[in-house]
Amino acid sequence: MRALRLGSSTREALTPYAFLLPSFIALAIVFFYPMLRAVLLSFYGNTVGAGLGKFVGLEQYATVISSAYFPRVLWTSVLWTAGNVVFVLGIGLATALLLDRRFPGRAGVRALFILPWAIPYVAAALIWGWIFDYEYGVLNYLLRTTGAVDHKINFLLGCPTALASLTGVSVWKLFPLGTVMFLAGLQTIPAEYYEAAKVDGANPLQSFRYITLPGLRNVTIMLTLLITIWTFGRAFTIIFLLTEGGPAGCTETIVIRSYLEAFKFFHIGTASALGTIVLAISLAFSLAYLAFMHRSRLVYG
Amino acid sequence: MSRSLMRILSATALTLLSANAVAADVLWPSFMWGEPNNEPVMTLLKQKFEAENPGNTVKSVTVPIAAFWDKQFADIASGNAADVATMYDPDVRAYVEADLLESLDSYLAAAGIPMDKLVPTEKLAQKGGKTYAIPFQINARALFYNDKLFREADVQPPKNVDEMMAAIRKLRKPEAQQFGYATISKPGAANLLYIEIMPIVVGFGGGFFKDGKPSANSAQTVAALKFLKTLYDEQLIPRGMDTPTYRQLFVQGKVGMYATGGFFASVVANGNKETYADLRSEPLPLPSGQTMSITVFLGVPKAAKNKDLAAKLLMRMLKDDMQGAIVTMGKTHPGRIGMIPASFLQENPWFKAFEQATLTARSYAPDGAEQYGNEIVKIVAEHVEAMLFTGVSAENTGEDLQKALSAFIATKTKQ
Repeated sequence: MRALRLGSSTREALTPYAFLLPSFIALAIVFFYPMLRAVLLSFYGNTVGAGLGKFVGLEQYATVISSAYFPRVLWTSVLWTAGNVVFVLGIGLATALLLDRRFPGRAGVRALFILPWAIPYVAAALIWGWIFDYEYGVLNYLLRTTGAVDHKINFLLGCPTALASLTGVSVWKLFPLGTVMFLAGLQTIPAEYYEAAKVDGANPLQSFRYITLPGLRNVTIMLTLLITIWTFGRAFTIIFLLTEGGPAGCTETIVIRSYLEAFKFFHIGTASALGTIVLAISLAFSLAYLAFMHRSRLVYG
Repeated sequence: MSRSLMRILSATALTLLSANAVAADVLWPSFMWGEPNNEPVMTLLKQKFEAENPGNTVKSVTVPIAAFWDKQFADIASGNAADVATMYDPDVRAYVEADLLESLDSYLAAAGIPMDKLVPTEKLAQKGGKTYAIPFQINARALFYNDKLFREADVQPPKNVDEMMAAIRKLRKPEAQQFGYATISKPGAANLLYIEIMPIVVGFGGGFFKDGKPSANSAQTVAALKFLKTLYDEQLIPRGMDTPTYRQLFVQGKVGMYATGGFFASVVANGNKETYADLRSEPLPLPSGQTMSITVFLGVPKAAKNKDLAAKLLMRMLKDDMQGAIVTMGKTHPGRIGMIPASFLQENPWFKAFEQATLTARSYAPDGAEQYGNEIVKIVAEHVEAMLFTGVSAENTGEDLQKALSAFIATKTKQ
C-alpha cells in the first residue's frame, strides 16, 4: 500500500490539529456528549431508564419557568453570582494593591494569599462548616469571647445569613484569582504615569482614580466575565455541602435544583431543562467574554 | 506448530467460556456493607449463599451513604444496574411505579414464603398483585434514653408528652454541653429532617398526607410542629448539627433521649460500652401511641445482569436462620414477623419497645402518595426549616404546608 504523501505546507497546517486531536476526543467523550445528551433529554419526559422516553418538545421548559420555585432559585443564583463578582473583585483589587508594594517578606505574604485557592472545594467547605457551627464553631466562640456579639449568630441556620456565609466561603476561595490577575494588571501600568501624575500634583487617590483603575479596565472586565461564568454555572459544591439549598430553600440555586430534580425526584427531563437554562445563560456570558477577548486582541494586538 | 497453538488457544477459550456460563458474581453495592450492625449479617448471607451455590459469588461493594442513592439511581437510569438494589419506603414505591424492578413472585412462591408473614410495610413494594422487593429489615422508632443521665438528673422515663418535655428541660445542661433530646436542626438535608421529625408527628397522631390527601394543617400535625419548634426555640436540642454528629453526642453520653430505630443500639455498643450499659428504651410517650418506621427493601433491577441469582440471594435472606441472624447480629427487626428469638429478648430487654412498635408502625412515606415521597419530603422540609430557622409559627407552617402540598398534588393528578 502506498503511503499517503502530503506536501510540507499541508503537513505544517495539519500538525497543530493532530496534537489537538487527543484532547478533542477526550473532551468530546466526557464533556460535549454528556452536554448534548442533557440538552436532548430536556425535550423528553421524565422517564427513568436507558431510553429517551416520550418526546414532549418544550414542555419541560414551560413547566420549569412556570413553577413556583424557578423565580426564587434564579434570584438566588443571581445574588450568589453578584456577591461573588463584587467581593472577589473588591478584595482581589485591595490585596493586589497591598501586595504590589515593596515590603519585607512580600514573597511569603503573596504565597499566603494564594493558599485558599489551592485548597480543594470539598475540604474548604467542610472546614468552614465547622467554623460556622452554631454549637461548637470557632467563629461564634471568637465573636462572643471578644465581645463583638452578645449572642450566637446563625451563620448557616438563617435567611439571608446562610447565603451571605456561603458567598463568604466562595469569595474566600476565589479572591486569590482576582489578586493574581490584578497584580499582573498593575505591573503592566508604566511607572512613568504615576511619576508624571506626582509632578502634576495628583494625590494617591487621584492617581488610583485616573491611572490605576483605567489601567486595570481590561483585567476587570475579563475577571468579571470569568467569575460570572464560573460562579453561576458552578453554584454547587460549597452550597451542597454546607446547606444543600436550605434553610427553607433560601440558598437553592438553579444548579442545586437541577441536581435535586435528577437525583432526588428522578425527573431527568426537568433536570436537563434546568441544566440547559444554566448552560444558555453561561454561554451568553462566555460569548461576551470571547467577544471582549477578540476586541482586546484587535485593539492591543 | 501454528495448528497446535490454535488448538490450545481454542481449548482455553472454550474452558473460559464454559466457566463463565456457570459462575457469576452477584453485584451488591450498598452503604450497609460499611455499617457495624449490617455488615456481619450481610457477610453471613454471602458466605451461606456462596457455599450453597458453588461457583457463584456475591460481590460486595461498600458505597458511602452520602453517594449511594445518587449512584444507584444513575446506574439504574443508565441501564448499568447492579444485581441488588437497596431502597427505603418512598424509593421503593417510586422504583415500582417507574417499572424498574423485577417481579419476585415466582421466587417467593418457590421459597414457600407467604406474604402475610412479611412486615406490613411490604405493601409498598407491591403493585397489581405483584411483589417487586422484599423487606430486609424494619426500623420502627422508639425512644432510647441514657439511664445514667436520668438518674443524675433525678428524672423518671416519661409516660406522656408533658413529662417528656419536662424531662428534656431538666436534662439540658448548657455548661456541660448536655442535651435532653436530639433531633435534626440542620438545614438542607431534607430526607434526614423528614425521617427525624416523623416519629414526633406520627406520635401526635398527625401526618402530612392521609389517603393521598394533604393533612398538614390538622390539629395533631400542628401540635407536633409546635413541640418541635419549642425544642428548637428553647435550645433544648443541638442546633445546626447533622445526624451522625448528634448520634455521636448520644454515644458519648451527652444526650438524654433520642427517638430512632433499634439499629442504633449496635452503634452505641460499638461506640461506647459505658453508654450501652445505660441504654434503655421505651415506646414514644406521645398521644397517639403510634410511631413510624423505615423499611430497608431489597429488589432486583430489571436491567440487572444476574437477575435469577440475585433473586435467589434475596430469598435466602428470608430463610429462618438468616432472619434470626438479622435480629441477633444486626439487632433489628427482620422482614418476616414472628422471628424474634425469646432468648434475644431476655438478653436485650430494650428491644421490646421496638418489637411492639414494628407491627403497628406507619411507614414514613406519605400515606397514599408514596410514589411522590421525595418531592413531598422536600416541600415539608422547606416549610419546617422556615418554621425553625426563620420564625414562622407552627400554625402558619401547617397552613402554608397544606396549601403547598395541595398545589403539588393537584399538578400530579392533572398529569
